[in-house]
Amino acid sequence: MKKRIKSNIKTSLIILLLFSSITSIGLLVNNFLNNTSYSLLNSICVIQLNIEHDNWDVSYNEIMKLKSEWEKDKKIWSALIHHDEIDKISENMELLIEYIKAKDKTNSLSHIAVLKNYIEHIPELDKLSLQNIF
Amino acid sequence: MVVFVRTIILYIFVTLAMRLMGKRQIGELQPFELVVALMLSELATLPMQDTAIPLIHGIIPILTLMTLEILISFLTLKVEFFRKLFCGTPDILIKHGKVSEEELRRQRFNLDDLIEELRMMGYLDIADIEYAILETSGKLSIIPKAEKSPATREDLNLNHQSVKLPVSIILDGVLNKKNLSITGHDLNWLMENLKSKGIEDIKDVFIAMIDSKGNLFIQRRDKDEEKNKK
Repeated sequence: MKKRIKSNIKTSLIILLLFSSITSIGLLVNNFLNNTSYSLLNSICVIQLNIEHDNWDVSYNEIMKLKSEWEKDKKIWSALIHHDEIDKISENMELLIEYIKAKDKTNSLSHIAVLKNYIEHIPELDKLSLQNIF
Repeated sequence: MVVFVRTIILYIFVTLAMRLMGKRQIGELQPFELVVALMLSELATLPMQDTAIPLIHGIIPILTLMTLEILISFLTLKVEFFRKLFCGTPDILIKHGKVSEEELRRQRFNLDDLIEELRMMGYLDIADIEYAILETSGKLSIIPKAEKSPATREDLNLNHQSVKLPVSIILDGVLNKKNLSITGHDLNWLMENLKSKGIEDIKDVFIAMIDSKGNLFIQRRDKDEEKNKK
């Protein structure tokens, strides 16, 4: 009898442990994506303001900082999200760097908008919402 | 190369998952187990081939399915309601030599299939069958009428020896000391028996086991193999 109760408790604990680990991993991933994308978006906003005020040197420095930040985040992101999303962000960032170098305001701002959209889209993809579930 | 490593990781992961799900998963499948088995294979192959998909997108669903499978198995074991819900109940298709039309229709089991199954199990006439039960795993169990069921040793009043569990002692030249002690014998006894068969070294034995009658069965290794091993 005691052995049976012990075995039931053991199975229940295993199930509970597995479910809680899966949900914890999910929450941690979601939290990590939220934090990193928020930080990237902040840097992009700073670059956008500088481009709008024609501060090209500052914009260039900021985009290079953003690039190195992205290179670090990218390594972890590639373990969590589809690599196509990462490639799109990297590609746009490279284009933005070139437009800032060429001091092309229109193209820089349009690529900033695209980049923002791609990055905002990432945590949205992993968010637990009815829209994502269905 | 990436695909190679991913395949190894996913193979080990799926094998472990199947192992944790228990032995039933590989044998008779209940409906919910079949669903898990089908989904698992599909889930593992996608991230295996497509390197753009993170491995975690394959591992998390496999882990979730594994947990659900353990949970449902546990619930079906403990609670009858869940057992009926997930596994269903066996249905009697033939009762006292009469086919139940109602059950056949309900199970969408046609007469040809039923008769074929009966033939495959060695029963030619429906009238010989007391019960034919469609089990939850989809297999058909037949209980023949008493006068048509095969005679047993008990029916014929024949003496019978109880069957013992066969235990292997030496496999491919390697001695299993644990199994030897289970049989209640020691190494001296084994060596004496080997010597009586003209075998000096355990390495020369291909298989040695205590069979179901309690006798020692010894098969020597092929001569060529013996030379190679030495």
